[in-house]
This record gives sequence, structure tokens and C-alpha cells, in this order.
Amino acid sequence: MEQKLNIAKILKEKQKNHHITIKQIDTDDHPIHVLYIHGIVDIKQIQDSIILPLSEWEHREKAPLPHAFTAEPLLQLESEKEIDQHLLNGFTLLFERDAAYAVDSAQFAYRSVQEPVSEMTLRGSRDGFIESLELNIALLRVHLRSTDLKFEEFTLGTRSFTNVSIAYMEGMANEELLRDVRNSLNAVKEDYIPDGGVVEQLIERNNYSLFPEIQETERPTKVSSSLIEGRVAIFVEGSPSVLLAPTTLNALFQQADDYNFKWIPASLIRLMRYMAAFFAVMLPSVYISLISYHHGLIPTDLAMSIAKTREGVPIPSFMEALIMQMTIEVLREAGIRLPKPIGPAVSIVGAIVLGEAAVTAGIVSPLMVIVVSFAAICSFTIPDYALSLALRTISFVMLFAAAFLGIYGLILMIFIVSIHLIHLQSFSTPYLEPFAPIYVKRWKDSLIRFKLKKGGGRIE
Amino acid sequence: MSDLKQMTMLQLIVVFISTMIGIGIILMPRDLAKAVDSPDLWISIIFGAVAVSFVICIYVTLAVRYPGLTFFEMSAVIMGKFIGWIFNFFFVLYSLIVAAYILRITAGIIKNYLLDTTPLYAVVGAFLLVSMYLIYNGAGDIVRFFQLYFPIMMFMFLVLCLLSMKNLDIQNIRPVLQNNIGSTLSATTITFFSFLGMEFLLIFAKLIKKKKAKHLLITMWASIGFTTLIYVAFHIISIGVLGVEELKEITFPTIEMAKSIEFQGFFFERFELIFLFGWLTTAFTSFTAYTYASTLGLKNLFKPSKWFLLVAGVFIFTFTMLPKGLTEVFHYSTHIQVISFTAIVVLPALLLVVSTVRRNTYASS
Repeated sequence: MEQKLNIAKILKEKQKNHHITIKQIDTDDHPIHVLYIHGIVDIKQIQDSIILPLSEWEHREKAPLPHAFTAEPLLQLESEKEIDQHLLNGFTLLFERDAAYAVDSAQFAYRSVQEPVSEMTLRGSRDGFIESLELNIALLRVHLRSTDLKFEEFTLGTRSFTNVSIAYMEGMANEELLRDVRNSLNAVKEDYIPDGGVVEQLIERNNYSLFPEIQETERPTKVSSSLIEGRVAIFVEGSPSVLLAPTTLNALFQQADDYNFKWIPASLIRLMRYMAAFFAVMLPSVYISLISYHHGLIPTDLAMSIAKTREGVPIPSFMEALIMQMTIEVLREAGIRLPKPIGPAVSIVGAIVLGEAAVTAGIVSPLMVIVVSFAAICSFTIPDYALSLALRTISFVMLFAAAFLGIYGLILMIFIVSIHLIHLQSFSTPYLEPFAPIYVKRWKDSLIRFKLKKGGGRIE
Repeated sequence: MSDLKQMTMLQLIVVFISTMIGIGIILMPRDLAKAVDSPDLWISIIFGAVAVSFVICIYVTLAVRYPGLTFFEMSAVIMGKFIGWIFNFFFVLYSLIVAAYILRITAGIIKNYLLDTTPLYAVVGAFLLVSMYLIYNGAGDIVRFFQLYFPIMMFMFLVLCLLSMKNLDIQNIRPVLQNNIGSTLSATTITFFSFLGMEFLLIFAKLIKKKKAKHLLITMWASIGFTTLIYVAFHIISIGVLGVEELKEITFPTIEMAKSIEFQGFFFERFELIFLFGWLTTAFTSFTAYTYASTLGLKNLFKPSKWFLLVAGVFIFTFTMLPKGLTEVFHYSTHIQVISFTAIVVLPALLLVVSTVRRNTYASS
């Protein structure tokens, strides 16, 4: 059935590698070789449950090796590629005559389960995914103990052999969606997969779109509730971010807290989040278009005070807004990259020195500082970072539209963005799903979140 | 799924209302005030709606007799290749001219109220390009766009109506029904054209899910009824706020009405921005529908190719830039009405007559 493995040759090759430990256990008529990579295996486990039983084993001449172990599953390997892969995944290999077997003994170095930094919630579970695929799946099982929960394994990366798993609820996930996800994963031909974000970009369709087609989360509860909705989760070995497909704009605005608090305040907060996102995109550009094109639309008193604050500002309002927006982006990027102890220093320098001093020096008007920083704060309310990146990019484009065509340009830009969103699909699901095309039934969990049904129904 | 396979009745109603309400809501009050010269002018709109409802019957009969065909395909089947081609050519020309007319009026208003120093070609070009982007994405996306903006549009109109209530002077609306019926009736010639857009039944007919005459009639009447309601509400409020005499003098009365809304103490005292956004959306939807129809027609006249969207765009841009000013545009509007009447009443009626005489029906595949 398969070509015979040349054990002697493989052993010779492996001996050259210093990290691979090879132990020989002599039996009466033939030796058994034990191979593992030091540092990624549990030495105690190998000692107790592999080497010890093997050396004490009495009937080894009569029965072949698979019968030697009872608790640990023993896999027979059939190719050199499999041997390498298992060795690298922390398995212990056993070579007996021409046969090779593998026992799972992996113990990679992982951090412990922590609360995800990028997705904070007030209420609800605080566990977050870590870098281990196996432990991540175990974390998911904590929240979703169902026999319908199914997993499928993939190996991505022709060189890195990264393990990727998809999870879905059988009977709830659409068969077509599953086929789509499987095909996309199988089509990946990259040689190295460093993280989930790379997988995301390799399987999404619209590479020129700013909007994320796949949602990324580090919270097991988010994954479990998405699976219940019929979505598919993609786990990538070595990555704490789990990918959820398909996604919609509406899903990207939802947060775990929305469901853990009573529905009226939760809905108000969600509505506010939508409005904040709108402000984050539109506020600076609306302000510019009002003061550079449509003075008439501003109430007279306000117009007077704006004119007073802009007195002595040497640059046009468009440049002023552009500079301020850029400064905010630079501060934000600096804040992310800096080590934690220095972080507050940057915000002090940014807020007080740049903001205060720039106004006092007459480079920018105080109202512009208010507008731009409020827009920046609004953008922090967007739960999904990829979406917030997209919206911030659009807010820059909006600035240009406002500078060229005022409010008219802004309205046209809103049209363009909505035309794009209408066209956009995430794994065949329209991005604006409950709104266009209209599914009135799903409006229950869109702009606002209706109350949970007590009769066993579930909001979708 | 960017290509549309079927449309539900609700989608169709949304498309028709979005197409019909366009520049009419801006221009009609003045024309009507001039023609009727009495607070009864809104009654003419109802007469117009009734007239349109009869024309609808022609379309419905055609759509039921030739299911699965657009106007362009129907005319070739009924009239033969050559005459059918001329019919189609005329219909395409009509769509292009109406699209250009809508665009020119829109650009005029934008220049008047928002961007007085921006060159016309920039205002026109930006609008045209955005609309072409939507059409490029396919009919399915056009319908979804209409669906997305329909609630927003309606909400804005509702807000505007409610806010205008404060300025409403009931004396302006009275006396009701004191005018002689003749002049009210004669104004139907004006109001009839504010329902332009219903002819798209002949374009969308092949996508409709329920093809029975009953369903089509309900759909069309619902759309016309709803549009009439909005028109009538707006006209009554316009008369109430501005009065008939003032309506006659102002070029864009509806916008002036929106401008007159003022709420002291509120952060924004001016609400015309809300109206301009809502109205720009309706203008955009109407314009897109006509540009889409002309692109479809051009593809039918010659051979299917993606380039015809660009061709239609170039034609519309040229037509739009031809008139020197808004006065010249208004000067053309009577000619446009004649062309419209020919394209949407005479041509379909001819098709229906010939098809009845020749008794050829088309078996849908």
C-alpha cells in the first residue's frame, strides 16, 4: 500500500540535528528508537508513559508495538513528510523495524489564559484565546458544550505547516458557506503563515476594499455565539485571534456587553455607538465644509464665535483639519507601540503640549481641536479595530471631498461608500445584511437590540 | 449575486416611488401655482395620479402579454426589427434627455444653494460618476441602494413636514374647492409628468416575481398612491407656508419652505440641509434609474457591451452642459414634455394596439 520507510536513512539524517533527541531501547532481537525535539515535549510524560512501559514490556517479541500503549493514542506514520510534521508538532516518534509511530507528548511554551486587551467588556466572561490551537478549542468547549460542534483540520503553509481548524455547528452553518470556506482554505498556497490576520487576507475576496470581510475576535463567548448564529470560526495555530466568517457591518458593531445588560440601556448604547461611528467619519469634514463653503447654514451666533476663534490662524481650514487628523493618528500609533510605562507620557505630550500650545501659538483654532479630538474619541467606541481603521481612512477621504465640493461632496461620498458596502459580500452574505437587502425579522438585533425572549426563542 | 433575478412587490414599490419623486417635488409647486392660481392646486395632483393610473393599464397589459421581455425586446417582437429599432432609439433618447434634465436641474439647485462658485462641470461630473459607479455594479445593487435610502428619505420628508407645521398658516390653504374645475383639470398636463418613472414597469417587468395583472396593478397603484400622498402633503404645506402668490414667484419653493424653518435655541437653526440631503437622494435615484434604462437600451440597440455605460454617461454629460442657464432649461421643459408623452404613452399604446391587431403573444421560456 505504501512505500517502505527507510528508517535507517531517516535516523541518520535526524542525528545531524542537535535539537532532536534519539534514544535507543534495546530489546531481544531489535532496537526501538525514540525521537523527540527537546524543549517542546513533556519529558516527564515521555519518561513515565513511553520509555518506562517500553523497557518493562515483556511480550514485545510477540505483539507489534501498537498494542503496547493503552491510554495514549498511537498513530502509525506512513511518509517522511508525516514524520517531520509530527516531530515538529511535539510528538514523540517510535521507530520499530520499518514502521514509525507517533505519540502526542507536546508541551509548547504558552502564556496563560488572560483577558484580551483589545476587546474589553464590563460584564461576562473574561477569558481570552491564547496561542495554542488545542487550548483555544478547549476554551471554546467551555462555553459551547454541544455534540453538534464540529471541527475540521487543515494544514496551511507549504513550509510552516501551520495547523488551522474550522469550527461550526452542524445543522446550523450553511452547507454552501462551509464549502466556500473549505475551498478558500485549500486554495492558500503561501509558504509561511505567521498569524490569523494573514489567513484572513489570503481568503478574503475584495482585496481593494477597506472593510474587513472577516471578523476577528479573542473572546471565546463571541465565537460561541457566532457559531450558534450559523457562522464558521477559523482557528489558526499560534494566533490568539479567531476568524469569524461571514461578517456584516452590523455584526462588527455588536459587543458582548450588549447582551449582558438590560435591553433598553444596551440598545441605547448600541445606537450611540452607531452615531459615534458616524461622527468619527463625518464630523471633521462637515465642520470644514460648513466653515469654508456654507457659512449660511451655521447659526449666526455660532458663526461669529467660530470666526473669532479662527482669527489669526494662518492656514486654510482644510489644511488645519488635515494636520490635526494626522497628529491624532500619529499619537494613536505611538500610543500602541510604546511600552506601557511611557504610554501616559505620550498622551500628556500630545494633549497638553500639542493641543494647548498649538492653540495658544495660533496655529490651529480651538474649535478645530475640539472637533477633531471628539471625532477621535468617537472612533474609539467602534468595537472592531479593523472596522475602525477602515472608517478612519474614509474620514480622510471625506476631508478631501469636503474641501472640493462641500456638503454636496460629502453627500456624494456617503453615496459612494454605501454603494461599495451594498456591493460588498462576505462569503456570499451581503455586508449590509438586515438593511439592504431588507430582512425585517433581523432588525430585532441591528440598530437596537430587542428584549430576549423568555419562551425559548433566541435573538439572531 | 450582483445580478438581479427577481423582484418582490415591495422592492418594486420602493423602486417606483424613488424614481417618481425627483425634481418634480422641487419644481412643480411653482408651475402649478402659475397654472391653477388657487389654493386648490393640490387637487390637480390627484387628477394627474388618476390619469397616470389609466396609462399604467397599458403597461400592465403589455407586461402580462409579453412576460420576460423588456420594452426594448417587446417592441422588436411586436413591430418587427426595423420599426422596433426606431421605437427603442426614441425611448433611449427620451431616457437620456430626461436624465440630463434631472441632472441639470439638480446641479442648478446645488449651485444656487450650496456651491455658488464651483464650476458646473465639477458638480455635474461628480454626480454622474457616482451614479455610473452604482450602475456598473448591476441592477441588483441599484435596487438594494434604493431600498437602503428609501426609509432615510421618507424619514427626512416626515421630519420636514412636521417641522413646517409651525409656519403653516391655515388661511393660505383656504378656500378649498372654490376654484373652477376647468383650470384645476387643465393643470393635469403638468402633474402628469411628475409621475414620470412609472414607465420603468416596462423595463423591470421581466424581473417581477408575481406576473399576474392583479399583482402588477396593485404594485403600481400602491406606488402612485404613495407618491401622490407625498406630493399632496408637500404642496399643501408649501401653500400653507408660502401662500399661492409667493409660490408663483419663487423658483424652488420647496427649498424656500425648508429654509423658512427656524428653531431658536436649538443647536442648528436651519433645516434645509436635511431637506437637501433627502431631496438629493431622490434626485440621485431618479437619475440613476434613467441612466440605467438608457444604458440598457443602448446595449439593446447595438450589441451588449460594458462600454455603453460610458457612452450613456458621455451623452448625458453633453446634454446637461448644453443649456446656458436654468432659464434655458425651463424653456426646454415643454419640448421635453412632448418627448416624454410620446415615449411613455404613444409608443406603448401603439405597441398594445398593434399587438392586439396582430394577436402575436410571446410564450415565455
